[in-house]
Amino acid sequence: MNHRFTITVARAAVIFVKSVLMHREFLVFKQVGKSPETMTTASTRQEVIEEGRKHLLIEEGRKQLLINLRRRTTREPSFKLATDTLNFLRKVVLHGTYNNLEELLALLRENGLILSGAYPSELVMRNLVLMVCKLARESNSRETNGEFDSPYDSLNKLWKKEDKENQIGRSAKTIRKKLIQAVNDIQIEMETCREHISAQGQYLVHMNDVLIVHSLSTSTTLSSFLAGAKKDKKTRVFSVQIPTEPDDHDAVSISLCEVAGKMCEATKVILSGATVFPDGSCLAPAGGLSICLAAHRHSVPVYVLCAFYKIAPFFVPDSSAVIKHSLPGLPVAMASKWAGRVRVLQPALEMIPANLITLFVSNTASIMPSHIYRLIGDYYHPDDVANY
Amino acid sequence: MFADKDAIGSEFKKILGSDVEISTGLASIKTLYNILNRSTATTAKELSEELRAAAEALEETDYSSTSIRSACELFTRFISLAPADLLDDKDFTTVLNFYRSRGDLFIERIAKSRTLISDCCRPFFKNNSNILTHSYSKVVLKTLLDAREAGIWFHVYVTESQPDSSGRKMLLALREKGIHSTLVLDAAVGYVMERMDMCFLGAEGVMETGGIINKIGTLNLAVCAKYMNKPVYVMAESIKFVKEYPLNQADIPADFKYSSTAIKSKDLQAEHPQVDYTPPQFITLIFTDLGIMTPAAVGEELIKLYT
Repeated sequence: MNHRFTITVARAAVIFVKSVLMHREFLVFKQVGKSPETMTTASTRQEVIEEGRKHLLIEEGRKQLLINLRRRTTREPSFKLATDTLNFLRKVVLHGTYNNLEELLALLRENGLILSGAYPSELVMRNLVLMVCKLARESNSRETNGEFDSPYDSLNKLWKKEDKENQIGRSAKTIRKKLIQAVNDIQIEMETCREHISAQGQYLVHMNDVLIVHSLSTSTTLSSFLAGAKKDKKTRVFSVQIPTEPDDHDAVSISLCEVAGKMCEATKVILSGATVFPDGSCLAPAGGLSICLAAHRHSVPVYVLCAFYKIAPFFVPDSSAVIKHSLPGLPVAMASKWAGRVRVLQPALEMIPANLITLFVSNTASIMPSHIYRLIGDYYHPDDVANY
Repeated sequence: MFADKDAIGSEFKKILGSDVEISTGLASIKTLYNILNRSTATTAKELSEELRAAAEALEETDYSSTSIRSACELFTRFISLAPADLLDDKDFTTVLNFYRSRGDLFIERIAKSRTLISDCCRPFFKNNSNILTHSYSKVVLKTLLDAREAGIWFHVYVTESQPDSSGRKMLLALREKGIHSTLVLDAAVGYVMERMDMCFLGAEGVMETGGIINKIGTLNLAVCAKYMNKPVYVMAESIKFVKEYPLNQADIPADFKYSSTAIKSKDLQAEHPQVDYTPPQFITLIFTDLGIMTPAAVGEELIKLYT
């Protein structure tokens, strides 16, 4: 029954895609708000088609990104998601139609909202959209008023007039060129992140350290950090594993329920973070909280590895809204009996409060949880965050 | 030409009386602004002396001297941060006019503070939650009323807050607007804490440590909340940031702790302190008109301003 239903749905989808393709030309005109009849000269007609094509290009890029997300069965490293998002945003900047900064920001926001609407728990996507928005603002203003004044509200500014940047911005062409450059820079920074984080492994891990790590097989950053640490130091590593996970690391596998017992032997706990919030709390793979609590009990320092694009600019009042659940909820044998009646929650991530974390290891530096808020201004603009 | 202290005090009280909504901090800033407007000073030194004398007069009134001091310090700081070439101007009235225009902007900005705080606090409300608050705070009251108006249902528990029962005033104000609320004894904070979802506190002053000085009893509530892992949110306008660094209760300046009449006439050993100091480790977040801050961020703001 279910099977047949799926086939029907698939067929409907194919028909839909076909019809979309057939009406492509028509859509092209519709996107720019003009009909073919009103076109007078061939050149404007050509321009409009070109514009519409670009619009479709963006839309297809977005669809592709979302489809890839939908297709995956396990959680991919967020680096891949970040790269994909950035590539898509680059497409938006490159092919989008805009005449000034406001239009570009609106375009970025619109696309970003669709992305985060589809996957509200993928905060990395949101971070990157906001980051690119900030870069867009910078590439607009860098030349107009020399230095880039911090846009954040501060005690220092209570008596200053709110000049809403009514400066005449750069032309779209200049913004585009500069922004693409800046986006490429981010890309490079992202690609070198892992290297920089693992380089810090040498300094943070000492001789004869006993480490407890979590989700080693899914976090490439964590494994390269350990590799960096092990280059010239002898360490012992306990890797907390879900029993079914394969183990191909140079580490002793222990299960989550052994953590509390093993904690008295450990000298450091190292986790990989998924998202970091300005108050210093973070999302880490499920199970991380109990490890951190055990570490707190034994005063074992907890290090959380996080690349810069994982730092989110907003406070989260309710962590359940941003925690992703992993698939599948129901075991296959039970599915037929329980389908539709039972919802098994299996959170992939967990919120770890700031007081349980000793240090965040980022690509640029190691940061105390209470200092995370300082980085927000480096990557985000308050107006973008407020309007998102 | 210095106005006499009583005149300044009564002007301050008149401003406070004319608008029930106005905060002590804003009222003292308005008083200083009036003095600035009337000033006939011919040098910067003279003006700052005049303002300092007025600030001292304000602190001698029986209102929260923490709020008054922070507001006055900020105001004098802001208007004194004038560009150097302007100060070289022969005619001091141009400088005065510059200060006045700054004062205008400053007051305009401060008046918006509570709305800004209420806005940034909104996402933290959850339907059907229990909220504990201490004493009477205008910012907390406005935040609660705005959240209720936005359609969120919650129940507020208010401590009685002796010795002046200011909690009762809070309770009446909440009930008047149809918010479900219960008055609890100061001694019952531990008893009700297990049912609470979060605690909201106002503050008389936010210290450089990120801790707060507030009505006596605040520390009890914060310690209880911390022990039971309940979030403690503080709502305070940025004009309440004070450049003081207390480490314990004994470090609180005496004029913050006791009313100025008590300081003048009585033996302080026998006097009840009116405020206590809640260290930053008991505070989850501080909502200010500058945005949401961790306690650690407050110190940085103050350092940025006074360097």
